[in-house]
Amino acid sequence: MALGQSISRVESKSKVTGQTDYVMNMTVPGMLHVKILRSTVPHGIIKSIDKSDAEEIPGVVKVVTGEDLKDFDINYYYGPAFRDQPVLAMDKVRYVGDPVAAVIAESVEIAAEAVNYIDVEYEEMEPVFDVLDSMKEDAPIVHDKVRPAGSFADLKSLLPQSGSNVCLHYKLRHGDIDKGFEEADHIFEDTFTTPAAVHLPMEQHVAIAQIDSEERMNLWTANQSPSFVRSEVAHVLKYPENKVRVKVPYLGGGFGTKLYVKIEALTAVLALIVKQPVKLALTMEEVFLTLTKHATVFTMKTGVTNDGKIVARKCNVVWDTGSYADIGPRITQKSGFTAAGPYDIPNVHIDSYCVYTNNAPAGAFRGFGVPQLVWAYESQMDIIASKMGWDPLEFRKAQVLTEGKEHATGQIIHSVGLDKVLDKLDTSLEWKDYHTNRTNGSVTQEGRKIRAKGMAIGLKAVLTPSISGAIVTMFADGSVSVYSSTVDMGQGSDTILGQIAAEELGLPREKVRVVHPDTDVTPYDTITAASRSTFYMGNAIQKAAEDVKNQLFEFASEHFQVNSDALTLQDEQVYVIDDPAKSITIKDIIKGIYKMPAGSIIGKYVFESHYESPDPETGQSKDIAIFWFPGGTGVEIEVDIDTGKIDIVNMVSVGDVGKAINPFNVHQQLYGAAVMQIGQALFEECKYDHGQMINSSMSDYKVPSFKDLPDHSDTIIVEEPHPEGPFGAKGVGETASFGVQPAIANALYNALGVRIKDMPFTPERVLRAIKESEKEQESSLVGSTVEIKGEK
Amino acid sequence: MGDTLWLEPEKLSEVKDILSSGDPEIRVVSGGTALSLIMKQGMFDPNKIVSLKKLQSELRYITSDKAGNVRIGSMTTLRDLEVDALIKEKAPVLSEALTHVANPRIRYVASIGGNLSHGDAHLDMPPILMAMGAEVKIESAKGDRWLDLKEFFKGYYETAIEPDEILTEIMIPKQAEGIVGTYIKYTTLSNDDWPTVGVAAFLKKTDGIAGDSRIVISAATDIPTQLFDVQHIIDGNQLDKTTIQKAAEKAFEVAEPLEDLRGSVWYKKEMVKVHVRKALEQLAKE
Ligand SMILES: Cc1cc2nc3c(=O)[nH]c(=O)nc-3n(C[C@H](O)[C@H](O)[C@H](O)COP(=O)(O)OP(=O)(O)OC[C@H]3O[C@@H](n4cnc5c(N)ncnc54)[C@H](O)[C@@H]3O)c2cc1C
Repeated sequence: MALGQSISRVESKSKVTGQTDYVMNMTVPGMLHVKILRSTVPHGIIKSIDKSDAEEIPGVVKVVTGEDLKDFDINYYYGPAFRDQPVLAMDKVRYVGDPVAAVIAESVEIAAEAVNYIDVEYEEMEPVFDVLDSMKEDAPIVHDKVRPAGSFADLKSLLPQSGSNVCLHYKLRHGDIDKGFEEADHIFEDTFTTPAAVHLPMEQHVAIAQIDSEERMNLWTANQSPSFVRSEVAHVLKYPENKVRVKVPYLGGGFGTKLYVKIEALTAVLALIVKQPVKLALTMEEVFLTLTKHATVFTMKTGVTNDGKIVARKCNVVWDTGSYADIGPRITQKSGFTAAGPYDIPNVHIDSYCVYTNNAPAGAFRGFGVPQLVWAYESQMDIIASKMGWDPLEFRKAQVLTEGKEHATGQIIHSVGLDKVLDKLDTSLEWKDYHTNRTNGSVTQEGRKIRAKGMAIGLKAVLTPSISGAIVTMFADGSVSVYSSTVDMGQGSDTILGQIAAEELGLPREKVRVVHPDTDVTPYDTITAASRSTFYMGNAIQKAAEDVKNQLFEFASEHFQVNSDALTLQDEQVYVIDDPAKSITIKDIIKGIYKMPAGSIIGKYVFESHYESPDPETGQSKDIAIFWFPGGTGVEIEVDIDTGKIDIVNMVSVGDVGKAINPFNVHQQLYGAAVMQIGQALFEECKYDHGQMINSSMSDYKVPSFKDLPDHSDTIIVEEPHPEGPFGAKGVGETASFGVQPAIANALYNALGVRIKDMPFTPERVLRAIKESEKEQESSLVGSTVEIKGEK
Repeated sequence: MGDTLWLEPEKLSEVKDILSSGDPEIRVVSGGTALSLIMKQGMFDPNKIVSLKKLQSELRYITSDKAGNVRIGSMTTLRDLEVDALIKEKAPVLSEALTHVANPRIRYVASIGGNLSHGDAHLDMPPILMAMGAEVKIESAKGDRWLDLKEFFKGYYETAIEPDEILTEIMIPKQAEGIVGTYIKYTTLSNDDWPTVGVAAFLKKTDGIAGDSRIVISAATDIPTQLFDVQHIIDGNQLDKTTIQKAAEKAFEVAEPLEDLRGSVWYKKEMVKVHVRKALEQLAKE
């Protein structure tokens, strides 16, 4: 029926005809507009704010500062991991861009103008921008005191460290690392860095807050986590949760930047203060200052034996979480524990540090830290293979985690098709042929352009523990509404979740409608992120639909005097399996139940994961993730050796999705995630000068355009079903993001013998590396010794 | 902002009258694609904007005169130029380059007059037009003057246009028989970015000997720059490997690029060298 069908998106038509409602386009009567004054210094004490000139401008209703908040009985700080972020700067600013004051005015233009008339005097403090400097004992402290938050079960154990910028240190100890390195015949050590980057969804962060006649706070917001926004705004306002209502329509993209509370606490507080509805819409330039992807420094030390086994791996990962922790601590832990890669390694030692700096806050970014890790471990796999003279594909196959093997966390791995992902890369890249026959990169265009291939695989653990609740209501005419707090931000969840309900109820997809998140109506859901919704929410919806089905069967079994398990639901009728002449329509059942052609059948389910919290000293847990999902990337690139510019001629993305509920949607997710990573790999980078971002506009921060797409692309679905997934499904939103960067770096090495360990691979960086390696080759020709790196 | 007065005169003479005060706070706008960006960034806040929107009949045209020169009204859009048959015939390098300028939405509104008057060194039209020896007509209430594009660009966002003046026409002189040309746009960020280096190269080949060469680089430097020293190496010589190599080396030597987000001084010098070479190699083949 609906399952496995590439049904087109339910919202396609309304989007392409411009009918879709976005918060950006919404207005409510009497609405005022907000503009933010942001800190111009990276670290400092606010000595004074003079807002009198701004408040005199006609049309300005009020200018609000942190000081003004003190007149209200509210909580000033919020945050998903630690409550370290103020609604508006309270006394201190921590990065260039920190919100210091908010102007509320009758128009956006007036508010924007008035911002220029606020005078702030700062007493500057020494800032720290380099994440490694920030870990030093004498570093300036970004937060004197950190308040833990309490919203998420997995974060309760993450206690912040005080008196240091290291706000979280996650440890994993598996086997005996020293013994492992002793057993190794060769040891390799490399450091890989990733810069900060931004998500840039088409729609900026935007929220409207309105207090209604019941004195309840109503929020319309472009946000990926309505349930969290409700509870966190309730915390800030000191309201009970049922006095905060959060509604989320379609999003114009999210990618992680719209998770947790971004502008919602401020918008709500301002509405409370002026007692009028307010709208805050960030400009694209402000989006750059709101959240970034974590910049990382990852040092990896690996011991291998002569017969091709990895016996020890030590990982030191440092995450620059910027001025506010946001979800950095969870990334540090949950992605941190995957840092050693999808391999069966007996001795693993991981230290993962979440570190404050005076940079813009960093948080979730499609892949949730995993791409930063895969970039390092998959680059090093090729470094080792090349040094040892091994085929990098065979080297991977020799240790890849397969069914029943133990992951470094101590969990026994099941339902991950990593070996199949490698097989698909092998055939689609024609790897064996390429690897055996190549001398070096193949030379084209009179020797000025060189082609070569590369690959990488990665593995991510889905967010665990987490919760998804769903209600499925069947109306008297047999049509169905699904109440879910999953946000359709462009990934197609409305389509897929509806398909799951339709499949369970034997209905055509058109009979099912998915209701958009409205916390008054749709049940709690942890977040729309982490590739979790098809699995978690899909499960909740499937089981809520099953609840409806059971109620239909209850009536039918009495009606036909048979057991429920003798019944089946198909084509909007319940049949007796062995006697299909006996059937009753859904409508007739409902009429039968309520003795009138009205009423509804309500099914509900709350899906919770099982979970074992990891040991704080060793990071070990038998049940750390409810499912794991692997992905792989293969590329063929062409490098211009005169300019250093990389062109991707072919890109293959392979993902194990368990079961493709909607194959076309799955292909789109794979392709989209991979394309997004091309920008990260080749040219995206937030550039700062003394904490000030100097390319915070789309004129200077470029993202991939149609002209940057690979000439040829393939997306390949692997289906290794998960016993607990709805119809076997896992997640797919991030799968193809894992391997793009190292696959390109590995191809670059195969083309020219140059190894780049810092991203992005801009033409200039590549050209420098080419020139340096030419120099090295020349000097090795005259007999000087070249240091053999990584050898014991 | 907000207090800016928006004017839409219907005659060129009216525009000149409005500008005659010479007040630098009064700004002309054509397509608005460049001006709106700098206004949004708060870099510029004029108190009067004079739109040329209603001067289509006076300023939007592409013709050729008796001498065979191409004459383009300043309000001609980039899209007009891109698809125009006369331009395709007389200045095919321009038509080709336009397909890589911004995107169709921008090209449909952006004007050639605005493109030149903006004085931004990262644009693609100036080096090509300069290499083709184009001249511009600048008008004011005081009178008209013609200026060679070589003297037009003065610095970063700075041109020879005075506050009371307006650019009305671009004249591309008839190119001599046997002239070949090319333009290379090289980007380092996404492929639809503004160029990091632009190289326009035009020359005449007579029995394999190059002459009358015009090599203009842009984007890497603060204004489009004609490389006369490089031209000296080319002119009078066979366009062979040795000449091309020498010319490219010379370009590296004389180019004075500025470091920015798109590359360091070293890298941009390298890219000037590489793309002067690539441009000449292309012309050698034609
Ligand atoms: C997203 C984007 C991408 C772009 N990519 C490219 C690219 O790849 N390559 C490229 O070459 N360009 C690119 N551009 C620039 C674009 O070509 C210019 O913005 C455009 O040509 C300017 O023309 P306009 O008519 O819109 O100028 P306007 O914005 O109207 O004016 C620009 C300036 O010129 C002045 N001016 C305008 N007309 C006159 C006149 N007749 N006389 C005197 N002064 C005048 C104005 O006062 C203003 O200072 C891009 C622009 C955008 C927005």
